[in-house]
Amino acid sequence: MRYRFVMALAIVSLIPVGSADAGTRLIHAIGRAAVAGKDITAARKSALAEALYDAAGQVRMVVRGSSFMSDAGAIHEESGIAVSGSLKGYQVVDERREGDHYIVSIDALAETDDGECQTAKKGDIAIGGIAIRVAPGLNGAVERQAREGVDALIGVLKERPTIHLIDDRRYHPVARTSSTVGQNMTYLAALAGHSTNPGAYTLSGSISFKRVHADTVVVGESSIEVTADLQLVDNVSGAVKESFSEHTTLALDKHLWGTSISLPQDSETSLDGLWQTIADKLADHVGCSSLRAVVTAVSGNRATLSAGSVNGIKPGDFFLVELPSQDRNSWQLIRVESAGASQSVARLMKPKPAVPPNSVAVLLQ
Amino acid sequence: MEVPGQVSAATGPIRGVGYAAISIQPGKTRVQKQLMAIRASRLAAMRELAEKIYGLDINSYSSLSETVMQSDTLRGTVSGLVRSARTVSIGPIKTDIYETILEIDAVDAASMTSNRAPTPR
Repeated sequence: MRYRFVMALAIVSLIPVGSADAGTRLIHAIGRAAVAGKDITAARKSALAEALYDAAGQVRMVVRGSSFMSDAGAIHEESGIAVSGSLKGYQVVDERREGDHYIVSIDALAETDDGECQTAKKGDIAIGGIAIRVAPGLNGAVERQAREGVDALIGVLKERPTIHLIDDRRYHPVARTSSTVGQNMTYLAALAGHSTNPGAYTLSGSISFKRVHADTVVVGESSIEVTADLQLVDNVSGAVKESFSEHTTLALDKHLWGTSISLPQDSETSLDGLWQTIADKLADHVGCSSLRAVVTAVSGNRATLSAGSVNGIKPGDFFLVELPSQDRNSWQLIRVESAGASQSVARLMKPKPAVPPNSVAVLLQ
Repeated sequence: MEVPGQVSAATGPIRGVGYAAISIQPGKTRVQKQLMAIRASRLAAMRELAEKIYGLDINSYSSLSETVMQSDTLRGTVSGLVRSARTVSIGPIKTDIYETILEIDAVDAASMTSNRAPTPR
């Protein structure tokens, strides 16, 4: 097998290497062409064009066909196929002559817009500092529900098939009364050998509980307004990927004014719905994005990735590393050879370009 | 059992085979005709794949006059979006015929039929 880059042909659209957040698929395609005389060059170009057509067809093709038979005999048949795949790039992985044919095999990277949410992989979400703020004077049951709120949210998130949860709350204090607290936590993390997963997203923010009165002339009503203001921060860039602000109202008391006659309340009686809503949003943002990992170390043609079997990674999975460059082929494919629990070792599939540590690798479908 | 239009993820890969004759293709030279035959056989294979995934819509019309058969026509149409079809083989099987075999995983086919109903016209 030889690696050799070839010039782009106009048979399919080759779009510039863009964000790795869009779904990317690795496609193996084959093209074949007849050799006329000794003109290998022309046959090779034709075979490559066929291979690119094959690759684009694997991304998307619309087929329409019609067969017509009249008076039990004459058949007229028409077929139309529209191929419209966008390829990020490709490389020729094998080319050879077989008799009077020339065969070209390519690996192409294609943009896809479907199927991401059906992945069996789990994206990392680290639970950071989530402050619980409870208004004074609330009864014990409500306060307990508030204090246990984050645990309940974690319980719901753990059940989501596309999320791998990392509970990092102990290393993310929410009550920093002085800088010493933060320093102590950093020291504690170092002692415990803990490091924040570089490829994860960190969830942090606050959940507040406030008493709300809604009295009328005849009815005295009070309830608890629960607000979850959460942020999902990208550990790679430090940017806020998404902010959530979800509300719900818990029933507290409703009675006829001036009496002790209780009335039924329409509000929620538990926070389960709130946790489910937050989990849905997180699953949409993390579970439906391509799984990514960070290259934590490189040695020769081996790279260590920050994702492992807990994320559903298994040997044979391919990751794409896109490197900042104007060159269309400045991407590297890495294939997982062994997967540990939270790390995996992968082999670089191309001799160039080199992959520096801290590069982001995106799982290919 | 492979039922067109009702692909189940439990079935194995679905294959489409297409053939095309070289000599009847347009082209000034034999090589051009070969290239056309390769493409034509690929299209025929794609069509068969679409038929297996989405099924075939059959419309027939027969007319009688004075109990005498006047005409009998039958039209079959297929239409659908196909993704992830990979090439298993392309090659000449006789001196004048090219054969292309395409294949798609049943899981992908099942996902295509569940996401979008077939729309034959």
